Amino acid sequence: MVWLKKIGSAGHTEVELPLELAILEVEKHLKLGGLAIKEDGTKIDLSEIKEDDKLLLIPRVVGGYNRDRMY
Amino acid sequence: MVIIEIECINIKGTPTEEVYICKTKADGYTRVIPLFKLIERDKLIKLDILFRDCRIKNNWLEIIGLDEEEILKRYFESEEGRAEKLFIELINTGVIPKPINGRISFISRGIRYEIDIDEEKLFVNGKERCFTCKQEMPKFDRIISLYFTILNSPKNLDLRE
Repeated sequence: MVWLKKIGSAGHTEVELPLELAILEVEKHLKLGGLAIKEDGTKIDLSEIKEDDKLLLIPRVVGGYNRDRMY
Repeated sequence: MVIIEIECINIKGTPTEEVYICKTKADGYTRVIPLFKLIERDKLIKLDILFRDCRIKNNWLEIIGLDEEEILKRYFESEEGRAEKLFIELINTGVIPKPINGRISFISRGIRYEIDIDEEKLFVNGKERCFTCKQEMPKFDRIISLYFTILNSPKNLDLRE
């Protein structure tokens, strides 16, 4: 099983998924421009995901500003 | 004993709406608790009356019938608070550097980055840079996301969307 914690607009969601499903889930997330982060803070590629991994899925951050807020 | 100070502010984007926040010292930064999201309407009305009459002093918690621990408990159960809890966990495990004077400072690939937590600003080699998340998220989720983007995908910050 792979533990995934996703942060984003829907709040934090935590799931434990079988390896194959977890890879699909991470792939979807990466296609949206997000990152998958290992427990040590470094990013992980799809091919590196293995059983018992704990991953944090973070959304895409870019430079610039949006209509309402400039950070 | 946690000291919580209350403030009435205008929130960006809602120019006519005054709301209540409270501030408390966290480890290396200021925790801003959106009180207006955490307490019931009748308690907010009590605060309105206190503010109108300029009577808001140290006993505001007593008047709304809550104590510091209850406010913190409600905060950490909220979406904002859960994001801060994760931020604290990542600091405690050494993944994110400990904030000092409201800022996380670190060097990555020879570039010095500072993230101002209180002001939610990014400085690259001392110069302020913009960043944005497409999704509306709690402040600490944005800070966590920004930190990992700088470390792992800094080119994203050159993109403007």
